[in-house]
Amino acid sequence: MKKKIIMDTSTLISLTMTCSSNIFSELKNKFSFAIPKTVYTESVLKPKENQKFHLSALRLSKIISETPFEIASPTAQEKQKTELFLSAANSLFSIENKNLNILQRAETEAAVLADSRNALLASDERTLRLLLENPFLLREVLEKRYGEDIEMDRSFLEKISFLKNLRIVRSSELLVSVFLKDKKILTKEEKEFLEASLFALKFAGASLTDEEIISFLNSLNKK
Amino acid sequence: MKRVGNFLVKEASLRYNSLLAKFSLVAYSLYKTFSKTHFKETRDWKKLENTISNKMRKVVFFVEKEKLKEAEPLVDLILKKIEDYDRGVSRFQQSVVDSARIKMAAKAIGLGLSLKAAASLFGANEIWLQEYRGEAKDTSFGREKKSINDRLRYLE
Repeated sequence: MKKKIIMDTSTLISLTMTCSSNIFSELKNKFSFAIPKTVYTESVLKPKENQKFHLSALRLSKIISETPFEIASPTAQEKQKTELFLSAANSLFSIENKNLNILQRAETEAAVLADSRNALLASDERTLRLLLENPFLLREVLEKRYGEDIEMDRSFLEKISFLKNLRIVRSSELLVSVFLKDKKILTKEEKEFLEASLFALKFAGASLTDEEIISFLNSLNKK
Repeated sequence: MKRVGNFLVKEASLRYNSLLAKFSLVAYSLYKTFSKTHFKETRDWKKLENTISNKMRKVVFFVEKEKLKEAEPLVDLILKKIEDYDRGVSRFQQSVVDSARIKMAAKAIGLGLSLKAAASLFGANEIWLQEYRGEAKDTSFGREKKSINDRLRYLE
């Protein structure tokens, strides 16, 4: 049975902007894909209204229909979970009793759908990832950026913890998995191509750091 | 104006307040508009200045009376006036207001808002915003717990 991946807008934007969206033709042999309806609206329908992004939207639309992607609507229970998570996440951090609204419904819905359907979440959205995987680091970042103490209400941390084991991949991992496939060793040319592709994703806003790209490429040399 | 814009971004992000976000857009757009000398050489410049001044006085009046619902459409109108003027005289495809939306939303992401939360608050196009963020130097979010290799294991 194929593993399921729920896609967030951020990942689709990164892959489309770097002309890497052809990876889905490879990935579809191993994975099935779904996007929440809200993500479909944001990634395909809205950009179609803007001349600058019309072509990207058309490309994406073609991939979604050819791969194919399931366009997923949340059940009543998933909608309820989304609201619970969103409300807790946006009440978790505060400055002088003012809650920090850090997330939106669409990305939260993608995460909830991935969890309840036992799927992976593909998201290049750093705030969501940090919130789920390392909320204490997120608090540190917020404190540094606001230059003020950030209060963290542990009761809300408890409420969002049902998603803490969510398996999140980014556009970078999807791309790398296609590059590596069953190969043990990459040729020099393939490595150079992979490096360029990862940096292209970084410059397309995939929230990767130079350090982690280089560290990953070095790890390839050791294999 | 730039300093005011930056201050307002922080306040808008902290309160997730659309009126404050729009004020920050006005401040940043005006800062950019005033810095372009060829803008001031056009016939309609004085008219624009007067229109904005008049509308701003009304906005201040409503804000002082705490009638924020009356103030917000006026701020929208100011942004539209700046945008219309800019479209007429600018040499760029992207209007000064659209640029402000991206810049301010990018700052809000730096303040911890997600891409979507920031795009929605400042009315920025998500694709443009992600692209802009990709070009920004980013040092202080720190290294994530999970590396590319860690996440690759999920795909095995």
